[in-house]
Amino acid sequence: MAFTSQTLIRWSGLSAIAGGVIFAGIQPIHPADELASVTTSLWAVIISLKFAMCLFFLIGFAGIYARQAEKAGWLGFLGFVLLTVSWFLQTGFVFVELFVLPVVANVLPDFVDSALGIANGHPGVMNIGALVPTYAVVGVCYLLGGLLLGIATVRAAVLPRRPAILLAVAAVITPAAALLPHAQQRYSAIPMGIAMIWLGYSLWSERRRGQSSDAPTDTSPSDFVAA
Amino acid sequence: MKITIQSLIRASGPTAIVGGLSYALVGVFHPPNILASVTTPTWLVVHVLAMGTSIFGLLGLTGIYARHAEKSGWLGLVGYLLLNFWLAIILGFTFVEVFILPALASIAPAFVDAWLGMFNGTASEINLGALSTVWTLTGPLYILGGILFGIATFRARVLSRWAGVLLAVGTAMGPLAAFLPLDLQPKIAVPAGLALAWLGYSLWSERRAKSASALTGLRQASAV
Repeated sequence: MAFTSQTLIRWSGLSAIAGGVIFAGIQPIHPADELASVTTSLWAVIISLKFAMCLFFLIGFAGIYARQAEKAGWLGFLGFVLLTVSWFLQTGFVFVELFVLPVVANVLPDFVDSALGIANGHPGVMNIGALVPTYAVVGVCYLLGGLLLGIATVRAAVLPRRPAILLAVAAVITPAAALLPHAQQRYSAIPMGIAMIWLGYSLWSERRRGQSSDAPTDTSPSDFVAA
Repeated sequence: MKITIQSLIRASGPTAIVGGLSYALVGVFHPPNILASVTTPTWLVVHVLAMGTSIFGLLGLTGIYARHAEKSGWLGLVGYLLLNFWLAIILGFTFVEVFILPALASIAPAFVDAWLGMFNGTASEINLGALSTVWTLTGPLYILGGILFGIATFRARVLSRWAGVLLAVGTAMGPLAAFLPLDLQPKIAVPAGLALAWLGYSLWSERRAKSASALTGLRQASAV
């Protein structure tokens, strides 16, 4: 089987779906961001899923953007870059939650408290340096990136409009979640997860014919004839 | 300017160059993995470069793979995925080295020692649990991924074949680091970094004429 850019982009749809399912699905069962949680097996399972989710999202956003790169213009490009930066840094935070916090929970409880405090809004006693401003960068890129890629996707009219609107709205309402108690805040991830599942599904399920006619690629003329 | 898939793939060339060169620079300037290094400016710069290797390397490698995906077959796909996992996992380690180790050097030196011991192969009083296993896994990911992707690049005949050879040889040399003194070990990264930069250059410098003629061919075919 030969791989073309189209095949890769279609597969990235599956990746977006997987990431979206994890993002929306783990929220109701996510353990509380507190010291006692980090050494539980539920924490290990959920955070492992989150690590996979970050990688799925990085691939998924690349596919969503590549599919409509020609039509999405600079707005779409900027949105894609911001989202990539956001999820790339998020991967680092999740790595720390998964591999570092459980190991140091006994020896450095103050550090774990402070690290969790970044997410749960209760700053710990320890100064943990550049981690706090870096987490703010994750948030700003998440919000702006989702908004821009959502708008660009609506305007490009290559993928369906409704999940694109949902992507933009879900990104923008996230800061509003700060008004809710922390336990409820994480539910703001659910609309974003649904938007990713929806966009991923539309990438995956697109007819091959429609794809090859409006996305000329590096395929050879013989591929085109075969289509 | 319109952004097409071709121009995106071509633009990923410079990102691969940046990723490859930063990896080579990490190799050249990496300070020894000892507690005293962690709070130095060199440590910070080298590990920020290492984060750059991951992000630019991921984007660049994706473009390189997309360019010859069709010709490089399963070998190329497996190599690409293994290298991608390697870059993603390495990112986690460098993230800790940039943001966490310097902050902990004075308050939790035992933890920092244990972390560095993982790379140096020295035992420590703190058990890092799954972390050491994950670190051990990165070796085979890097070596196998590089060898497979290098061979696939050589066979695909789309990008520079010799860059593919250098990638395969450069990553295969990884285990030799164990025979070098500690301060020379990181230098083993240099050939692989240069290979990635070379592949990126090869992608970037491909004649536009080639893709333009392919497009004309497509348009003629669609007109029929």
